[in-house]
Amino acid sequence: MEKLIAWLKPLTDTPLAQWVQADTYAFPGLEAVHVISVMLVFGSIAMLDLRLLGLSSRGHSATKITHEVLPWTWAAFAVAAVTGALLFVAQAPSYVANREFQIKMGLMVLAGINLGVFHFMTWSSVRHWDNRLPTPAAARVAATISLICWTGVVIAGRWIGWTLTSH
Amino acid sequence: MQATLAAWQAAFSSSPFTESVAGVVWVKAMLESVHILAMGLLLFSIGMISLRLAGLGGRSSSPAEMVRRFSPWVWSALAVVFITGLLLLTGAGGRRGLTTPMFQLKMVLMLCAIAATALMQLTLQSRQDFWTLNPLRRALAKVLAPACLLLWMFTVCAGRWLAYGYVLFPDA
Repeated sequence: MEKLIAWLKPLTDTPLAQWVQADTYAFPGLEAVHVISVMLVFGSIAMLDLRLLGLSSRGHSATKITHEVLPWTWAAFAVAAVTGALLFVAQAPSYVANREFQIKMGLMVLAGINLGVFHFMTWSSVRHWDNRLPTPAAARVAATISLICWTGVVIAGRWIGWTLTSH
Repeated sequence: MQATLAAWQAAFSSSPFTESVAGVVWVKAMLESVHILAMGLLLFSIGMISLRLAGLGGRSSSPAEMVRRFSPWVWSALAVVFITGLLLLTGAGGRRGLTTPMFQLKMVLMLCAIAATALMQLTLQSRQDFWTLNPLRRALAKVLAPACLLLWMFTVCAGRWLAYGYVLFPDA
């Protein structure tokens, strides 16, 4: 960890990082856009997960919900990733040393693996269960893992603000 | 007005929850997280209704159908936001509480957002084709719908900026 912190230190001296640190509006502005985009990632993916669990949108096919929801998820995720990266470079060593940041990143990796498994294994048979409830157990498991991961990402993300210390 | 708000904030700040919300990090962080998660569901639901009414997306359902599907999410999420918001206010004190200009701005933005949301919902519930009856209504829908989504986004922005009051109100 000490090596990683030392390796990331020069990042905070780049002009971009300096701008995020010093400009009155940069950090608050980036944070606000980050929060809005993370909200939309969570809100959209949760709607899909709840459909897969049979808890909402029961009268609509799974493919219809994915077509409605995923453009929001990906667009919001792209914005969250860019703003998140900019916030990160400003204080990179402090973030990597922060436990809540590590948990947040870990949960996002887990959510990504879960998405990959769901997409390549469970989703390939969707035509058999598109309009059927309950959905296959594998889909419900994936939806539960996704909900837990993204809820955790939001909680850990908010928590960073209360625990970040300077490194 | 300011005196009334100060009196309300004082009442909030002497509630039984104040000590935990202001002093215990996990209590504060969990309340904020639930506040944010509920806002996520609200914002996405507003997005689905607004973009459909603006003609920018979600062709799979009509605007009235979008309202029928997503407005229950909006109001139930708002209830959660309201309750967690009140609890957070008990620990807000003078720096982020009712008397600060940023909080007041947030409330004004939120009330406008709620009004725009209710207007979209009530009109589409009364007549499915309310916003397509004539060219003027079509044009108004294209303003009202994105404005509604933006007002909610600005409300979130002001919420995050409670911690950065100086950004907009350097003298306060």
